[in-house]
Amino acid sequence: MEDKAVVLYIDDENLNLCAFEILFRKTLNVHTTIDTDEAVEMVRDGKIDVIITDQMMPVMTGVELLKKIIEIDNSILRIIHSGYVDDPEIQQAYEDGTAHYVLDKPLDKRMMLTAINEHINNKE
Amino acid sequence: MATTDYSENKYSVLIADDNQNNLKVLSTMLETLGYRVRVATSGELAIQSVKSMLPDLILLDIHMPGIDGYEVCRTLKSSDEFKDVPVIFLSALSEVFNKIEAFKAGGVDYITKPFEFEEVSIRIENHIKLKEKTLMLQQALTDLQDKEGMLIQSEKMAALGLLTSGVAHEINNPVNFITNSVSALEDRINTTVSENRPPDEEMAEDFNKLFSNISTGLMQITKIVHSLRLYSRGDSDKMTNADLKEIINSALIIMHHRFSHRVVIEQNISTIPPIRCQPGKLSQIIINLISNSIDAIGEAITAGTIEEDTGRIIITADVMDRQVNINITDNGIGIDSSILNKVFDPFFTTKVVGRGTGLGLSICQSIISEHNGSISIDSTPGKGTTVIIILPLTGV
Repeated sequence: MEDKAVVLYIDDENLNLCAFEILFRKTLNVHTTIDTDEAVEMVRDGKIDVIITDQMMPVMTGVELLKKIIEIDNSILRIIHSGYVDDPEIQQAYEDGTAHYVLDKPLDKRMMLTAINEHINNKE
Repeated sequence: MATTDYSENKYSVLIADDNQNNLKVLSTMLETLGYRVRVATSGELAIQSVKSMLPDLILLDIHMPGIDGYEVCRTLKSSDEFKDVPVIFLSALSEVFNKIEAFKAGGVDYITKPFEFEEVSIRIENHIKLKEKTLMLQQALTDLQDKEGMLIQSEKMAALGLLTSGVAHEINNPVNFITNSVSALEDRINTTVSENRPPDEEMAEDFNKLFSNISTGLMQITKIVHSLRLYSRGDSDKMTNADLKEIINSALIIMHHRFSHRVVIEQNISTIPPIRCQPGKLSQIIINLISNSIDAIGEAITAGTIEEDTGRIIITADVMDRQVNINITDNGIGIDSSILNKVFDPFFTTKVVGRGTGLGLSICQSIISEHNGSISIDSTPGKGTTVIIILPLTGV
């Protein structure tokens, strides 16, 4: 069996992280954090394939986080997962390529997995 | 129904007088001046004539057999349909003429015989113009009232929009992790069944977490729905005894998505007995004021007077001298002293076109007045603003 995609999921609601981790533990290599600064550190340590982030968070928005990630590693698949898909900042990020995908809440599992698989296959 | 006669695009004047000679003199005069003239030789005929077609002005003799001029005038003025037609009384200088009674009956002016051409001309013209101007003003007033009604409606719709989008976002979050938790449970159960494998320790632990997630999520949603009852309750516009803390909390739940990422809201609410109020409307005020504070904090961050993530709103409430004092303080951009006395004026706004109707605070003020309370604002530009609401403890 091939290696599972390494996914980093960031959200300011602990229960979102917990449910996500249990749901995808079997299919993905899931890392989660509530702390955007820690997320940046984890990307710096390497080995992350996919980043999925909430938009509205206390210290920085998801889009701001993705911009920092791009500077460190441009090859990571970047997904915004938010209930605010109409937010102009998100729309702008999608148009200029800061975010590859924008997924509404609640999560469409199949759409997310398709996006991740496509990214991993293209990489190989 | 009587209609205004503009068939020749000239003003029409009805002359009511029992004296044929007077009728003749005045008719000739008015026709020379370009008016269309109708005549009536008694009070009864005058009323009939007005009913069949509305003149622009009536010249009315006082002393006529049958119904006299005063009575004709009073009859016309008591009818909504005819009351706007100006009536000028005709009187001979030698006659006994009670000016006060003429005006009291609803006359706008009087002309004395013998008639002077110039005088008749000017007085008639003045009153026709005056009536037209009055009608225009009435129309303008009606238009303004309609517009005001529309704006108040749009302010209500804006408040409703704020409410629904707030609730949608607040519910969406727990729905997201409930959905994922249910989906995870489904996966685990399917695996157990298809592989015919008894649940192991890991699965038991997952189940615990997932069920706990679901019940926490459901509790959150229940809380949101509960806070909404304040608005959907049929009696939300009626005076009822309500808990101020609950009103403030429900407003904060609905506003949560707008401030939670940028602004810290502190509450310091002492024990307050139930107050007699319209809970839905009070909550509307709290939402409106917090919304203003969030905007002011946003502007302060943009202007650089405060750091990002240092926005703060403090809500305090306590009881003193049988009064409830509610203070909402923010560290936003503040209000310039030159406009501080205008902020409660209807339609006054500093927001860009389309971002506010300028009715928010004006509506707050009228709601507080309905509660026999007062609302005032204390502000220092660059430092922040405090809104002070005082409500009587016994209510209305």
